[in-house]
Amino acid sequence: MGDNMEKIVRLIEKNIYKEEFVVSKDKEMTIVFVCTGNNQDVDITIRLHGNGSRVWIYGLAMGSPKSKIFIHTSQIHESPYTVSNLLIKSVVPEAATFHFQGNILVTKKAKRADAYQKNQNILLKENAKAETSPQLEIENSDVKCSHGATTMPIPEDEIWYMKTRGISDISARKLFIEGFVDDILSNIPDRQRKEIQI
Amino acid sequence: MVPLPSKDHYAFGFHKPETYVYKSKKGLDMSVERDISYQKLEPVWMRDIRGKAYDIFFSKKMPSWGVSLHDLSFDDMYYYIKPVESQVSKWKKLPKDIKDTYDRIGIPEMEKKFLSGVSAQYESEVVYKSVQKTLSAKGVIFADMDTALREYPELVRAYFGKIVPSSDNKFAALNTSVWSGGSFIYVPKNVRIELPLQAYFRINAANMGQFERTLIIADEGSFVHYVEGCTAPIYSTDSLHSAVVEIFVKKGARVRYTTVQNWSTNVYNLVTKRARVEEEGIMEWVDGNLGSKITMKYPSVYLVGAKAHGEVLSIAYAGHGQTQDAGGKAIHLAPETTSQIISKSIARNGGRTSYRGMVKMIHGIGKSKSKVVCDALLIDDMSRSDTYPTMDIQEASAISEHEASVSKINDDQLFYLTSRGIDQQQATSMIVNGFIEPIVKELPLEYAVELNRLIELQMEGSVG
Repeated sequence: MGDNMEKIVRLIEKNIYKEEFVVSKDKEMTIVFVCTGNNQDVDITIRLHGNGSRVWIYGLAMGSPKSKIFIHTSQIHESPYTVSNLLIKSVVPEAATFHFQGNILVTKKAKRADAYQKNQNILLKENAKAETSPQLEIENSDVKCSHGATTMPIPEDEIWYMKTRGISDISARKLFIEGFVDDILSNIPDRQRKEIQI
Repeated sequence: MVPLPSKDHYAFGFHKPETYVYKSKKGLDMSVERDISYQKLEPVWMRDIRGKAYDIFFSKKMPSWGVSLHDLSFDDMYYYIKPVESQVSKWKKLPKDIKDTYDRIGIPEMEKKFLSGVSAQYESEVVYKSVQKTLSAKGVIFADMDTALREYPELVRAYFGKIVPSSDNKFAALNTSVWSGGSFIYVPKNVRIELPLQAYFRINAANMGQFERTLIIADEGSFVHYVEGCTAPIYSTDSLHSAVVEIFVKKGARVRYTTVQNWSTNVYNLVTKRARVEEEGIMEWVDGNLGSKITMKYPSVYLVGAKAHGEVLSIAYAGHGQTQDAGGKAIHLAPETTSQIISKSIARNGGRTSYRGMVKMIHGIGKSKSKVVCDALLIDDMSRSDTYPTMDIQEASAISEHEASVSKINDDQLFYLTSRGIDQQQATSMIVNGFIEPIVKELPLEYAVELNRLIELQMEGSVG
């Protein structure tokens, strides 16, 4: 990793958690956070303060049954040529609720900003709930900005595919979830990854 | 492409001297609301509904979200103007200056094209109506709301305010208490109306609130396409347009509701539109917002029957001083329901566009699907675009997707066109027209032509 790059990993256990990151000129930051608690309210703000600053944000919520997790993120582009990329994933078990609210704000000064936001949720049991509101507020025309959000059950055709290859239903589901969360967890260094159980 | 007049020229910015038989006093109090009901000789139950809504209107606060409406003054408006003594059924009998106004929008041409029934609204009430004989032969009722209330009171009573109750929001309450005009359509079982039904209307008196109330009932297996288009003359003081549209789509029926709104840029356009869709029914909203000072409009579909489908297609254009806060709502309440919301917006010259939407899927509805796509185009640095979608999914086997993007006009595309000898302005206009194409092609031909020309007109002088 070069001098300009920084990787920050947070395993969040606290119920209420708030943190702000400021990325300075030409710096590149990767933020990975995993919510491990049951009743959590997590608020992450990223300010792209310096020219050409870049950030990658990866977040994962894996609640237990009946858990309630709220993730709130803000990507604030304050300077020109800034890049932000956000990916939040959640696996929502029985009777649990997941709530995501993500904001992208591109200010007038942030010319040529490039912002992306993606939220994907898997609902495991019938009474799982996910509410997602990704929001864009764009005050500058010279930008590239988009977001996407999906909420769905484990796709049965993928499970079926694995089952036809002799994998049992339960391990097929486990494999699917492992693959789903790997997009986030693969960004965490191995020694820290051991601490996370899925 | 035809050269168009300068960018600030507003094509329909003219108005005729007011002719009216009765005009309520300025502002709203109990007597105004009673007056309207008395003038129209309405049944007692309607008077009761108006009275209750009047109380609700005053007890409700202004919406705390969305666009700021603090400039809106309810006391500076006229709530009811009755234009001419009674309705006329022949074009020739219309007063001359009213006819002139329509000539300039192009209604007679429309007639020549055999469009089904033209029911045009001038000031507060429908003054001209020509429902083709074929319609009534099929048992279709296409009338203005006041006539419908007089002739089919039971039908109106059974459906009025059932999807948009007056307690729904402040503006629905206002509309319920002072409504006048609007269309009423009833399509009997298995009747398909192939030609679109149209109503043109237009605000002509300064400070006049227009409070149409539209009710469409499509009985089992029927089909109707209703088109509503508005152009309003320019005035110096603010006008309020606050309509309520209620649509009942019965089992297996399909309703398409198309609006092209081009109010002058001092009109507040605060509209509640909602449809209730039963089993295997289809509801489609096609919504174009070009004019007005502030528009807040979120056509909704309530999917209450299994396999019901709802669609919202929306285009918004915001120029100088305009805010277009549009979007759509899909509420899934039954199994195997599907919905799609597609929104395209363009902001230019300091305009502001927002997408505000909601997809809700309740627990226990099984396999349902929803897709939301919203794209925004920002032409210059003075303009602004926001996206505020919400997806509330309480059913694990449901699938919901959302995607949105905000961008400027692609440099590569612009370069490609200009390198082929097309000047920059025309190229920009072509790209913008291409951007809104997926929605424009869903409009009836005359509207598509009108919309394309309006976009071209607005794009004049947008480069350099």
